[in-house]
This record gives sequence, structure tokens and C-alpha cells, in this order.
Amino acid sequence: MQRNLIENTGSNIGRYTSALLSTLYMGAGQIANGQWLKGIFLILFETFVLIPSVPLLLKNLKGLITLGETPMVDHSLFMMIYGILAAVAAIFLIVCYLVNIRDAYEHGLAIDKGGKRKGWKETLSDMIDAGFPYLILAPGILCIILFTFLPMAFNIMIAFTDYDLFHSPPRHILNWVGFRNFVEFLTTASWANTFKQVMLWTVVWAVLSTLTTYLLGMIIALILNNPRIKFRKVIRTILILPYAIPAFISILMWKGMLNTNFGIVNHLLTTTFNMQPIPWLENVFWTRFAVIMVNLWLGFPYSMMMITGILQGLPNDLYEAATVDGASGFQKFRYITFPLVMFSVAPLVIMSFAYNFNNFNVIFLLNDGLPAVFGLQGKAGGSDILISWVYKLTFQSLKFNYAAAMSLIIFLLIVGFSIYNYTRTRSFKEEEMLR
Amino acid sequence: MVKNRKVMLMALVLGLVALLAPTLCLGATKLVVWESSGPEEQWVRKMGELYYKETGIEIEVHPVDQLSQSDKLALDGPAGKGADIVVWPHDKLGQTIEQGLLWELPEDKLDLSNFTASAIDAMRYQGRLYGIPYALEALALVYNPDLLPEVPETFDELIAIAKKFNNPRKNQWGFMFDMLDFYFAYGFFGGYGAYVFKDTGSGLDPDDIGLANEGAIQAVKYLKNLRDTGLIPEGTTKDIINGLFIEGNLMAHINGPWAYAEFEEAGAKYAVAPLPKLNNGNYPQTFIGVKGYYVSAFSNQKEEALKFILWLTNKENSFKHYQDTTIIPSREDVINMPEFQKNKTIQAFAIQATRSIPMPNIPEMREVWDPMAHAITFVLRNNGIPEEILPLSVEQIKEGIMMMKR
Repeated sequence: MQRNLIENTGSNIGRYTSALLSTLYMGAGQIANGQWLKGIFLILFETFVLIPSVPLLLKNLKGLITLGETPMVDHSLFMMIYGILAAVAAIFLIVCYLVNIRDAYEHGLAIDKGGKRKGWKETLSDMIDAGFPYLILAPGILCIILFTFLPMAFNIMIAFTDYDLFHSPPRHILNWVGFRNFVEFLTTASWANTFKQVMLWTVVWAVLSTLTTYLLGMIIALILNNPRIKFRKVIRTILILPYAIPAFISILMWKGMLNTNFGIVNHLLTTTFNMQPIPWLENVFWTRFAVIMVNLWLGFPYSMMMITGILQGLPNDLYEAATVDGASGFQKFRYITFPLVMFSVAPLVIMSFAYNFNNFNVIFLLNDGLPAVFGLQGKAGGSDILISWVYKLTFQSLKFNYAAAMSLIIFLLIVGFSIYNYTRTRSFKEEEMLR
Repeated sequence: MVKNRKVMLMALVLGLVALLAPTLCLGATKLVVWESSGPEEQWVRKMGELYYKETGIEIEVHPVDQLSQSDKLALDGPAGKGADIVVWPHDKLGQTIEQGLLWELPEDKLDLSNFTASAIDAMRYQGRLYGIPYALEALALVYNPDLLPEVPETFDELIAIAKKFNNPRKNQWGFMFDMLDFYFAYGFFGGYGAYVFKDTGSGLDPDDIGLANEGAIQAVKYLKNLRDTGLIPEGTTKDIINGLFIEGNLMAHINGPWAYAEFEEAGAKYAVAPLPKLNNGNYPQTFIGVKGYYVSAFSNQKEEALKFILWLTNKENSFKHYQDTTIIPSREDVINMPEFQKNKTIQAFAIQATRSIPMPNIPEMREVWDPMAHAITFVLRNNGIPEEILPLSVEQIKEGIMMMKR
């Protein structure tokens, strides 16, 4: 029943013929190769899936380019999202088509070389074997496309449009403006100075907030890891509590407690220690001090628990050997504990640096990025970090395009930093640990 | 065959009519309203049933928070799923009109003479009317009648009384308000003759900012004086003020009608009066917030929607609205009703509302809040004098507006 059309030609061009046929219409080459079932399936796929979807895809891809033509009817944001989805679908269909051509070519090649053509049973089992990982991955990949790739692509695209209040859909159609947002944002003269100051504090904040939490976490973990400490579990449980309370509630509590004239902290300082009230939320230095302390309070339990876990997994024989060699307690820490802990923790430290770089919650909720600093332009306050400043600058003014452009810049900064550091950590290189 | 075909045709036509008739009828007689869940939603639902009995037009109420309605309408409207009637505070009006969400009302066909003039002004954008107001929110003096038996005529007297009572060591406070919130501070600016944007008669002019003029300087100096007398120390936030007032440790403060629910719940003693006169003889000109019903630009029954809104805000129903949800009505004929004047609390807010101007509803206002709050902060913290700081703040506002529109 299954004839092989090319087998009988006896020439060496079967692979090209079938590849060409498959290029003309999906499955044609497969039929020429004698793979009837596969060929028919592919023909049906092209006829009923690919061809009918072409106009829809083209319409949405065109929408991605024009972003709509009639205001109040076309909604540019929707068109953008549909356009992105259409692009993904188009890439998928093109890949299908290319795979179909390659399949025809390879099969033709096998036949040209005198091999036996594969029957449908064989093909099916091949497909299941080779395709199984993809089948299992498919839901995950779909989720990544929908929930990670789509919003990111959307965000990146907004950075290249003129999407702000005065060009808002549905009344207006958005336009592509290229790099205009980046240029405008970075060249506004009065903001340049502010940008430098905010950037500097952001780096200081990210470094200090990360280091302090890990240092305190490590110290407490080391203390609590000493078997001579009583009630270790109780203490550990109490210390984990700040981490268990939702951060934004405790930040608001701290805001109230740090109030200059009515807060409990200053009340204690003035009544018990007879000190002057400290302007926690009014002075730049003290606000910065306060955000770092509050972040420390919020963040150390996590690193403490993590380092405790690592400490408990350290091999005891190392310490025994060190004791035999006459190492002091500090030497044990310096040459055994610390390197081993850092080996496990370093990638996490980098990640929390990236997290703290964008730690909007603590900054925004504790003091709204304030206090106001005389001379700082563009709404920035003394404790504003890049992301909270961008929020004020763009979302309050409804400049979504600037917001997207700035978050893209911040994203690139963090990605660059993280990649650089990840590739330099030893745990990434998977070298031997203690050299 | 022929007979058969006729029957077929008849059946087809009948089927079509049967299919279309309900949709046509429904389309003409159902209005969708969005309203914040809670008393307001229940009220509109209740009134909708009455309206259905009167006119046969069905009112469907969906619970959508007032502050998220505009975002929802911007997405749902073009897709044909939006409401016909929407509600939000008037300060979002300019923004939502720029987004193209609202239908301009045919003002020449409407009788608006009985509405509070400032409330109608709040519903205008660039000289055009977009909504019918139903409720006001004004600031007023909220005081503890045990500590302050009688509200004096002028602010200076009030401050003098407050100073005598003020004793931070005993946790006794005379008079407070959140000076760093420009919404609260504006009363003094307006009273001394400052303005945010000049009202040109055909809308507010965002290029003419009056926040660095003589009046503004005087207002900031007055605020500085309040700080220097020790009445309102650093760190006086709204939470602190509410807390002190509920404890009975605060004699008087400035607050809005949204606060008295909390005071009632806590059992705090309170009374409300309009703000006393400033030392130039003017009353503080505070901002009012106005809530209005708007017709969606995407509705295909705009006229019917407008009719329902007008019915909902007529004198009788406006009074019912006040009775059911204790709003401050935006109709003068309701405020002047003898039954209404019994409620001293609401009346105080209503009187203050007549001495107020609507908070600017143009989107440029978004650029004003932060620079002005910062300007007040700088003066209160002795970073400079008002004569120097206010012009700089106005520059910042202008720059912000320039960036916003670029």
C-alpha cells in the first residue's frame, strides 16, 4: 500500500526533491518519501491550522507595528499584547514548518543512501522518545511565556512608546518613539545631579543592607550553634519572629515607633537616657540609619536560619582534625567555618543585593523616601533609592513610558552586576571548595 | 415545495425576531452602574429598584471600587463590557477625560440652578460639563466640646485658647492638623489669596500658578508660626492626631467627614464647626472633594443613563441619599431644608463647603502635591524663608508639568 515515489528514481536528489516539496506544502515531501500518514497529518495541519491562522497572525502582527488606527475603537495596549502573542505563535509555526522541511530532507537523505524508510509505527515511537521531554516541559514553557515573557516584553515595549497620560488609550493611539524616552530622561539637566545622588545612596543602601543582615545573621547563627548555649531552640524561635510577621505591617509599626515627638523610641531615649529626641524621619542621616536598621531587623532572621542550616551540615571531622592540629577557635572559624559558609551563601548574597537594590517596601513605607532635601530636584527625598524615585517621578505623573525605560535601565544594571558576580563566585565555577 | 419554502421563511423570520427581540429590549432597558461596595452600592441598588418600578428601566449595580473604576473602564469600555454610569472623586476627572472615558453632558438642556455652584464647577473640565455631583467632602474644625465649649470667631483667638491648653509634658494638645499635607494646608493659602491654578472661566490655566504670591508667603508664615508656638510639633501625622483626639487629649483639629465614623466607633466626644476667620477677615478657603455620577463614553444608552442620574440627584432623592448614607449633599435646596439643618455636624461641613473651592481637577495637579509639601517642610525646618523657597517650588511644579506633557 505504501509506495515510495523517490526510491524508484534511483538518483541521488531525493532529499532535495522532498525538501523542496515540503517547502511548497507541509507534508508533501513526506508523502514523496512514502510516509503517508505523517504526510497527511502535516497536510491537514497546514490546511486547517496554519493557513487559517495566517490572516489572524498578520492582523495582530500589523497591530503590533501600527498600534491601532482608530482612536476609541483600537486599544493600543491590547494590540500590543495580542501582537506579542501573535509573534510567539508565528515563531512556533515557523519552527514547525522548518522542522517539517528538515524532516523531509533527512528522510530523503536516508533513502538516497539506500536506508529503509521508516514506517508510521517507528516514527511514532521515535517521536515519543525524542519528544517526551518537550511534552513534559510544554506546560512550564507555556506558563513562562504567559507569565514571565509576556509581561517583560510588554514592559520593554512600553519603554519605546509615548504612553503617558496625554497619549493614553483609548482616546489616543500609542506611537513607537525609539530611544526618545531614554534620551529625554537622562538628559534633563536638573535631574542629572539628583540621579547621581540617588544612585550613590542606592548602591550604599544595597551594600549596607545586604552586608548587615548577613553579618548579624551569621554572628547569631554562630552563637546559637554553640552547644553550650541554653534554650537554643526557644531563642531561635523568638528571633525568627520578625521574619514571620508580614513586612509591610512591621514597617508601618516601625514608622510609628520612630515618630520624633510621639514615638516610643524617642520617648524611651528622652525619659530613660535623658537624650535629645533623634529626628529619625526628618534628618537624612538618621532616616538612612533607620531604614538600614529596620531592614536589618526584618532581614536577619532569614540569613540566620540559612546559616544555621549550613553550620549544622558542616562535616565534624574537619573540626576534629583542626583540634588535633592545635587550631584555636578563631582559626577554626577563619579557615573552616567561614569559607564553607561563604561557599554556600555567596550566590544568595548576590541575589539579596539585587533584591535590596530594588527594595521598594522598606524605603517607601517607612518614610516615603523622605525627608525632603533642599536642592534635590524631581521629587526625590533623602532616603529615596532609584526604584522609589522612579516611582514618584513617573507614576505620580503617569509617565508610564519613562517608568518602563527607567526600570529597563535598572534591570540592565542589576543583571550586569549579578552576572559578573555569579561567574566569579566559586560555587558557580563548581571548583573544589577549599583551595 | 413552494408552501414549504414559505413556512421555512416564516419560521426563519420568527426565529430571528425571537432571537433579536429580547436583546433589543434588554439593550434599551438595562443600565449598568459601578459603585464602591458597601452603603453606596446598596443605596444605588435600592434606588434602582424604585426606578425600575417607575420607568421599567432595569438598573444593574456592580461593586467596583471608585478609585479603580477608571482603570477598569479604560480596558472594559472599548471591549463593550463597561458600565453606563461610573463614579469617582472629581480630582480624577481631568485624567479620565484625557483618557477619553467620559461623555460630555448637554449642559444647555439641564437645569443645574439648585446644585451647589462649586460642586458643579468641580464637574467641569476645560469649561465643559461631564458629571452630576451627588456628594461633597469638605474640611472643617473637629473639636472636643468638653475642652472647647465654644468655637471662637477667629483663628487667632482659637490659637490663643489652644496655647493656654497646650502642654506636651502632660500630653495635652491644643490645635493640630497635618501641615505637611498640602490638601490640609491649602485652606490657609486660599484664605490669604493664593491659588493653585488661575480659574479663567473656561477651565483652569496650568501656566498661571499662584503659589508664590504674597498670600502664599503669608500662609506659609502662618504655618511656621503654628510650629514655633509649639502647637504642632514635628511628627504630627494624621494617625497621631486621630489617636490623640480619640483619647481626649486634643482640643481641636482639622479633619474631613470621613473621620467621624472612626470617632463614633471609638466613642470619642466630638463636634464640628466651620473653620474660623483668618486675621485678614477671610475664611480659610479649603479644598472640597466632589463625587459625581458620570456617563461612560462607551455607553450606547447615554441619554437614558443621564436621565437616571438626574433622577438620582433630584431634591427628594438627594435628601434620601443623605438620610441613608450620611453624605453631604451637593444641592443647595437640600442643605436649606429644615430637616437637614438639624444635623449640626453635616451642616458645619456643608457651610465650610460653600466657602471652599473644588480641588483642581486637571491632571497637572499631580505635580503640585509633592513640591508644595516639600516647600512647607523646608520652611518649618528652617531650611530657608518662604520668599525664597516658594518661587523655587513653583519652578519645580512647572518643570514637572513640562515633563508630564512632553
